[in-house]
Amino acid sequence: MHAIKNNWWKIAGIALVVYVIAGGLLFEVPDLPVLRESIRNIYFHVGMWFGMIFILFMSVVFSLRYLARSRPEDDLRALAAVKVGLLFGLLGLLTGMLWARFTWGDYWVNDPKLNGAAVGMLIYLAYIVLRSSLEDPEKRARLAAVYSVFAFVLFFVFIMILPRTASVSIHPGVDGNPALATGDLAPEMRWVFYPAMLGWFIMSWWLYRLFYRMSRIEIKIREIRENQNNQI
Amino acid sequence: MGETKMLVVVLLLVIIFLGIAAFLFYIEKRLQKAEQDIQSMQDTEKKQESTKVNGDEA
Repeated sequence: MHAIKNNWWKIAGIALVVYVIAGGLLFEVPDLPVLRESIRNIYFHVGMWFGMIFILFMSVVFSLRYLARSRPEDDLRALAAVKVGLLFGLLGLLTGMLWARFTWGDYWVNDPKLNGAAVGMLIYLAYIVLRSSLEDPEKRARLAAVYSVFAFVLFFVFIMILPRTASVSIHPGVDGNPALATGDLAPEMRWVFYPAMLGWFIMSWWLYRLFYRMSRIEIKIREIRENQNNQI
Repeated sequence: MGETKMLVVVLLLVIIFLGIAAFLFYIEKRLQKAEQDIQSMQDTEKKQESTKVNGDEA
């Protein structure tokens, strides 16, 4: 009973994703030209992408909190959130590439939205590289926090603003919010789409917490070892 | 026939996802244990340090 009380939101997340897998692949979808059955990928591709944006936004929140309070935990939280964001981003890219293969004929097409997403991912990979290149923990945390804030802004520019200013893009959502605008999604698909959003948000949050706890344990073990070495 | 195949695919995907979820719960359990161990180690260290300080003062 105690375990259920503590883990109810994780169980809810699992139930939602199971519902999304089953409903997403079995429920009725509109028969649209070109898209056909591949439209079901919206529950996974868009869901994972939204999960990524949510967790990357949280990394900005933790980074700002670190800059305000200088607590090492906030730096660890920001790093864990970026790692999960990268994982979800990679899954979003893979599902998007599969979708592109069946609708546009190729895994990758020269499109501002796709290229922007790839550049955005590279910006966040650079965050990990930047961290590993600095020895001093305090300096690393401060620089990474500042970089993280700019990275999120740049990421947004690359995936949301620049594609809209480009004259040609075959990716949906250039002149609106993909899948969220009233005319973008059939009403029957909303029964799966909204739970999918919530399910992927919960999964990203759960993974973030696990990553954060792992890195915290790693640091504590290192501290204990250093203490023991000092005593010897 | 097609519907049965689809059901098998869905079932397989659900099983894979539940496997991943079970693995996450397993990691969580291991983390909880590691956190408890570290906490008890830190508590023992603190106790030892305070006894040492008290001993030195005496």
